[in-house]
Amino acid sequence: MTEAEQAFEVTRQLKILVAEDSPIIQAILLRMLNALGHEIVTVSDGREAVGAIQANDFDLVLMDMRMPEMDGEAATRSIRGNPSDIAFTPIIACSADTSDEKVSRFMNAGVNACIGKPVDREKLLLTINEILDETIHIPVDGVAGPSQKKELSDNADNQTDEDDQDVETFLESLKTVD
Amino acid sequence: MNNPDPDNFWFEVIKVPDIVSKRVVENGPSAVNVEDLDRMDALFLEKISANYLEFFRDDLEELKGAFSILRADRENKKNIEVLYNISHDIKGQAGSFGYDLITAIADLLCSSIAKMETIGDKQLEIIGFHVEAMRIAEMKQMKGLGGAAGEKLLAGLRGVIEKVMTRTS
Repeated sequence: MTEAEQAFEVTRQLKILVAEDSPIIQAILLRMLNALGHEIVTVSDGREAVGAIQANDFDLVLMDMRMPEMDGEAATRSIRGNPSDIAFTPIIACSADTSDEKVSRFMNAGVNACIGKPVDREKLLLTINEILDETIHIPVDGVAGPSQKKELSDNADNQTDEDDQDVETFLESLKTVD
Repeated sequence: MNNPDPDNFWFEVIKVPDIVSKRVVENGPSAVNVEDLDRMDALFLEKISANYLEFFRDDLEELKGAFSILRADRENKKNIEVLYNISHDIKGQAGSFGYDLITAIADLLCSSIAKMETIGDKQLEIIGFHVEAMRIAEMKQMKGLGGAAGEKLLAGLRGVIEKVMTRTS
């Protein structure tokens, strides 16, 4: 069985700033959002994000919270402190760390919502609806195509006895911890 | 240069495509107009999807290197930060390509490091077990959560973390 992605209809195109230092995650987000017709601009750190948002009108920002130069938290505070309307640009924090403590910190910095990494496409699209208070992404019958994880379900149960043996050996080594 | 006679002079304006400005927006060298690069991004992502473990091996080598540096100088807080950052990136990426077990191991490592107030022998041992667990998951190409073997591996790691952290707290 192949894991397929939920199909969505889009009511209007958005201009989205993606602030993310990992080229791999950038590419994943681009693929998710470009496929729906949204216009994406990418930057690689918080300082560039602050610069980009001052020079362009964005409907929202996807902000990685751990970036070089200026992290997402500082960039969010900087955007929120801007005297113009850009201070009100919706920001979604993207982080591999979604512990209560971190999410609380991100929210205190001024983000509107927080999603975890790896980014779940459906969750991202519905979160965008939620924070813009508008049904931009409408789930529809059918599928959008295979996901990045298509091989996962094809092979999730392909573990062999040999794998078990390696794991058993590893587990034995854990027992040496006193 | 003499002025050409406009009645006998033929010219053609050739507009050179402004490739660079098309690709770069106003505010910074790495701010890229993605429309022009979409196809390239799609190819890049396809390549990663098909060969994620090759990319992961580089991350794993980086992680091992950071671990070696930490073992050599456990007092320098920067060393544990570097190790945390690499684990954090692995956590955010592997699951996107179907390697949820690797993401889960990296998640355990990140949360363990976050609880470490000092780096002693036991803490190094915990980190070492996580690095080894990732190596096994990579070597065995354990996709998804790795089935029963993956479950055992995660349970073993959780058990040893609890054991060591309880003792050192």
